[in-house]
Amino acid sequence: MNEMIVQSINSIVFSMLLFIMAAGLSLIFGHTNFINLAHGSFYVLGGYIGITAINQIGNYWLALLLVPILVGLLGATIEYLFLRRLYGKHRHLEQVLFTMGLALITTDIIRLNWGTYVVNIEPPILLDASITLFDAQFPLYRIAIIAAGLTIAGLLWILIQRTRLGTILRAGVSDIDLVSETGINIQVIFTGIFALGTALAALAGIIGAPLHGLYPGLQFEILVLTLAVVIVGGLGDLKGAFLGSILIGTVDTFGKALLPEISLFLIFALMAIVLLVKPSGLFSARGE
Amino acid sequence: MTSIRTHQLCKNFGGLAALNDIDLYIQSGERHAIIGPNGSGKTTLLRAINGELESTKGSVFLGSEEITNLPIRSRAKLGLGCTFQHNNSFSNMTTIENISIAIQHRLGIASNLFHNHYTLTEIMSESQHLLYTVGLDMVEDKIVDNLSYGQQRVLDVAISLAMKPKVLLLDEPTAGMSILETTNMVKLIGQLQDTMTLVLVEHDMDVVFKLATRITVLHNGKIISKGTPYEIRKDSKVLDYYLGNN
Amino acid sequence: MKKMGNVYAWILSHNVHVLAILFILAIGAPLWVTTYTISLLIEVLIFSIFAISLDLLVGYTGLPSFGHAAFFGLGAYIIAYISGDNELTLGLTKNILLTLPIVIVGTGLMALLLGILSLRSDGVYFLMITLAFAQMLFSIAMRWSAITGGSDGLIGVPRPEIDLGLWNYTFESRTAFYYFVVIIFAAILFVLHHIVNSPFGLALKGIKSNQSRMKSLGYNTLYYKIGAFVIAGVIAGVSGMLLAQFYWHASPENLYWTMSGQVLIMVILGGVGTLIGPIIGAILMRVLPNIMSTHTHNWQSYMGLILIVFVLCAPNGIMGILSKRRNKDL
Repeated sequence: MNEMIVQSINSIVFSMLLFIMAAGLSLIFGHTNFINLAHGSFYVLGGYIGITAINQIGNYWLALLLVPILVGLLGATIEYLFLRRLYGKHRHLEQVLFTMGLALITTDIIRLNWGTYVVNIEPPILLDASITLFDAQFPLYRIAIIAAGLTIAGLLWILIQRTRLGTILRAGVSDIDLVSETGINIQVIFTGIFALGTALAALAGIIGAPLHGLYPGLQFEILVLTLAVVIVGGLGDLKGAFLGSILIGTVDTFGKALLPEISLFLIFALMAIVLLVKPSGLFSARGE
Repeated sequence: MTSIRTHQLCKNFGGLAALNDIDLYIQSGERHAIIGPNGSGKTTLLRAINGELESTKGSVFLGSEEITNLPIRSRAKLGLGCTFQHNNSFSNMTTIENISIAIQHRLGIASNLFHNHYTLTEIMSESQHLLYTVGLDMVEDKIVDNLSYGQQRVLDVAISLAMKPKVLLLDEPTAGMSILETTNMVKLIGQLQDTMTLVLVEHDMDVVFKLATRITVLHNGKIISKGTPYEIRKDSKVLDYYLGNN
Repeated sequence: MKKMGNVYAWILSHNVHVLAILFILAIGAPLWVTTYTISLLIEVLIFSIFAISLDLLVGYTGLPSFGHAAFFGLGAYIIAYISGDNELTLGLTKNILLTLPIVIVGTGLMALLLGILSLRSDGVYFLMITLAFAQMLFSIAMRWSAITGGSDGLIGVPRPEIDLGLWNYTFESRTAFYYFVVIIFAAILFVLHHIVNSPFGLALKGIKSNQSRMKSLGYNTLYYKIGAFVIAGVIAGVSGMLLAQFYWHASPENLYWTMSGQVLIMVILGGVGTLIGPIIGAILMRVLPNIMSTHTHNWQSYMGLILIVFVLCAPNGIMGILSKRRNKDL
């Protein structure tokens, strides 16, 4: 029973991490119809730049704030210079190629600056303790991750439901050819969406790094898991990303604990089933 | 050639009733025009007949077969052909390839994996003959994107003709055409009368009165009049709603 | 530039001669190139087969598959399982007359199954579902160690042999295997060339060009897509078999999604919808990293840069560049 609780909490922790990633990808994919295979690269960049920032600045919290903003600006720049020429649903293959190119470049950038070793980040001192819950010891850091995930979920919810930008997004603006009569600049919105998405990825990277370390290949592993979440949960839908993360996070955590041999298989089987039965995602409103 | 019939056909989009209780009967061999102002439901009716749109209520019959719930390709196999308002050909392929695609399917040899389709005489000779009939034989090797607008519209009709349909639905075939191109198209359609039933949606009244043997008038999703061109010209309802305002 | 266009036009109109010359060069290659180059050529040929099979899906039928490595890896594992010599495998025979049909049937059945499941989706959804299925096969290969050898894969895959009872011959040496690959490559090229120019091939092009128009002509587009998927899967499986025989090893990496990505890049880089384009793409993607990695550790970023430049400047790939030049002269 104890074991169940421990794994449940662990799965929620992992789900929150996945959620932050998935929200970013869902925003980009769902609203601009752009396939971003470099999403995992922004995750690891966030982690690695985070290490450097923490070492240079000396303050974990400041780094936590600055690095996502920095990476978000990087994302905005890339979108402005290159990606906006690639929008359009008939150009998915080009988007795939381009973002894979970005991912490859990122691999070398990381290797040059931080080497190929597994790197660990220490959690901040404030959170470097354990608390006791349900007769088990938990690193406070993990609980904090849950809090962070829920906070971000809340903030994003406010953005989507309560702001003008959110109204535009909810209206299903996904066609770059749409020239808005209300005077809103669609180009700027798309840049903003991409910036926000990549900032979220970087944030997830810094938060997640103390959990599993940073190592070569991580960018692709996390990307594939995030794709799984977005497919299962539904595109462009915050609720879908949230519920999808919980589903995938739970299956992954319990899978690894109970049936390690087939845990990967389970996730992708789940993905395939969802695509066959309800391609728009389990929790999506659109019944395409 | 066959008759086509709808029975109490309705189509709603959300709260809007685009088609309301349409009882249409087109006899085998007729050249039937459907006219009406913009938004009267003409194109919606065609799309409900050809299967692009699922009707909300009512049924559609091709001859004696009910086709209401059949997908587009099944209706096509039963002999229903259609052209569309926008150009809808295989625009990155050559003119003759566009025709060959239709012919090879009709001949049942489309799944042949081994012969070069250019060397299969059954396909080639029929394709070339059809292109000659519609006046596109000179451009048989041109990519469709490079054809003029009028030529592309003719090609659209030709592709449907290649199917040898029993019923052909034409959605505004002369839309956007010059006077010369329109005359050509009218001539082309006029020559079809013996081999198939024609249903024509048109705005151009000259074309309608030149080609149609019977006319149905739609307004706001309802049929307000039907009859021969002579009767329609005299119908006061039609004059009020439509012809008078033109 | 005008000269380039003229060369290209000449090649197209004399393609039989060009092919004959290339074939003679290919046969004679072992005489004047190093064994290292022979290895490179073998790899290029294998990946060319892999790439043109994907082109049938992407370039001709308009199906962007991101899981084509599934069949590549499956072909490798099937041959490893049937003819491999280690404690996990059956090790029944290395007679190509028996093993090739088994590889074809095995990958064909898997392609039929995955095709039926995936092809009801289009576009982006199809891309994702193919990715999902390929990853499933990868995870099975990694975890089901009892059968697949886990992350180590299966070693001991022998070179193929022709066994006619009274006479047999094994393509053991690198040069012998090279000729084996050349023959298979030529055969597959021959078959695919006929397929794409057949009525079936025309139907595939029609599906890519305007699927709804095809339906309005009565075509059952799902059948044709499944057909293309199975053909492509089988050919990819054969190329996977060749790779396993070359390196004596079937590895889960052959199933990983970056392998699907690599072959997709080959197709797009070279130019979709042309059989030659993917071959050029395969040459680039196998030869360039080889050359570059001997000069620099940063070959991945250079590859990335090349991809990016290509997408921005030449979205139709190399064949696109060459045909544009040709059209200018006409």
